[in-house]
Amino acid sequence: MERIFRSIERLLAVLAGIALFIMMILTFVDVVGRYGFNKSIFGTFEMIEALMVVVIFAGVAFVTADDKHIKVDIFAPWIERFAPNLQRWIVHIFSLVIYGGLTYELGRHMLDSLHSGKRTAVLDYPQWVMPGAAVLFSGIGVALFAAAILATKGRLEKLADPTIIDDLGPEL
Amino acid sequence: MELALYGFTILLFLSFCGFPLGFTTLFVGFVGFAYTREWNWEGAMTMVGQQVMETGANYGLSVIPLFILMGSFIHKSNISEDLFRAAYAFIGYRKGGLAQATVLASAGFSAVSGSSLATAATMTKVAMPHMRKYGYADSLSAGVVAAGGTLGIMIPPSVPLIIYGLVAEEDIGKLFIAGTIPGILLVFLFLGAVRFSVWRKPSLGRPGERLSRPDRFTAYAKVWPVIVLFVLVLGGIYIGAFTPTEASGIGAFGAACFAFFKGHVRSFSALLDILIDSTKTSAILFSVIFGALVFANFINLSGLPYDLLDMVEDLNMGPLGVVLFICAICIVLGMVFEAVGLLLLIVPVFLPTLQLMGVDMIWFGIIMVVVVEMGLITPPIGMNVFTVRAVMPDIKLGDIFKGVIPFVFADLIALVLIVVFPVIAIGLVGLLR
Repeated sequence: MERIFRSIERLLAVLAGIALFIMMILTFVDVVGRYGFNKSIFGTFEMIEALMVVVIFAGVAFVTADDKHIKVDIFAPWIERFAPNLQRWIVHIFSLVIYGGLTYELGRHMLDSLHSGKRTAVLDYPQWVMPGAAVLFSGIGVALFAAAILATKGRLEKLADPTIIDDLGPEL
Repeated sequence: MELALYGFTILLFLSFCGFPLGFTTLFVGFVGFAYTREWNWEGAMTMVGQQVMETGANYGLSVIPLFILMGSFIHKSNISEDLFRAAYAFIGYRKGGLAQATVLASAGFSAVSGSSLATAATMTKVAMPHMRKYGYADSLSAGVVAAGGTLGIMIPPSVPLIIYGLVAEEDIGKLFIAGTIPGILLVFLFLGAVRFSVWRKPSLGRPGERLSRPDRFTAYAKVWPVIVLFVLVLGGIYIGAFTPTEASGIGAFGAACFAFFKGHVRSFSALLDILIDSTKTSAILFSVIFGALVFANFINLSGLPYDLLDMVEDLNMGPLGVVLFICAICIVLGMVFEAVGLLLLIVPVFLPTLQLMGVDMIWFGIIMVVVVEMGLITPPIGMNVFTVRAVMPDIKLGDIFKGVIPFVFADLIALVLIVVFPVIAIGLVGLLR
């Protein structure tokens, strides 16, 4: 179970990372092309929008599964003392419901785009592809998060992958 | 107004109970929006879906992951050693010189990183051993690295400034330009804070050795990549050669080349680690941004901006009074919230009122960043202080908090100066216009 969880999480992280790398190269080459050769890459704007979907929604999926969102938890230790585990379960179930609800709404958004049959202005691909990718990554994220909560009985820190989470990384 | 205040109270309560900030703001914004539309859940759901999708697939916002990536490459390229060496060559022979060198090196690192914690963590590893070797008091040395890290969010490129620009719909390029002089001002004030500490108690920091002239120039020569990257990114934006998004791509690429040639990122796995790390940070930020934008929609519908405006007019506070009132709230909340969370919580609430009052939103953004900076080093939750402690576990937390006191005063002086003389923040932007 843990191995499957880690593999999927790693896959999401690698996908998002590669998308970010392509985004960097694309932006750089586009600017150099414009100034150096008077020629931009066709459709950069739309390509970067699509890459953003991968970076952000795949990223949110693995960050949520690892329970690495920003928290303040000033009262949490106090609540923990009076009702052990209660706070953790409520927080996880709350997060799961919100994340699941968001994924559901993104799904509706995708269906609207699909039924409208609209296509993008420059690269001419179907507009539902971007919300579709967001739904796919978010759906995987919700499933991973739910599995992680059940498998660890709410103690998600047990599953955190040390190769992904570097606490002294480039935070703010 | 009551409705927005209830929403804000519930949001604070849930956050303090340990609910993720992004999901909590999204939840409160969603329920509040549905309530203001007479329990129209369908409309609220549609608003959330559209807001999240538009934000997550926004070309202009690619500036956030790309500048974070630039910072990651810089973080891994060990430029901090060279920066500290150059700063030491310049100023290390004076009383408290190593601590002042740490301030300068932190400023240099911030100019290409934009990350406060990364600056604090990196400079702790680099500067602390040197300061300990020269018998510096832990309070001064740990205090200066924690405070020096806060320069990361003022000196451009700064991720919190980008996020402020996004929420306030202000030009990110102008915000970067506006952050330059306040950033330099803070550097001078921090240098002054070190000088004051050593003047009051000379045993806190002895002078280091003076390097020979050739050694000094060798040290200076090694920091050229930082200067080139900074000039390229900020200069490009300033002269209008690139948009901030393009500048972020160029900056990230330049930092990647630099990390490669310095030999720190030469394997696929090292590159992948950096990319994943940047993605993780970006995703954490975006989840809070999603929530904040949904919450902002609720605030706008709740009528709070107009009610606040009426209240301010009744109390005869004027724009400056409101700005000072917001600063006071932020200083208190900054003690418990981290930088971006605080920005995203406060800005949507007061932004429309300030806009109605005609406050210059670039000036206000710079003020917000100074206030948020203070929150990074003030107890009980000073993220930079915790970062220094995490890297150097043998230093007492109390010592670090004691050490940052002069720098908190320096931040306060900077805040007063920027409030009284707005030209510090908007002077360069005026020239740009």
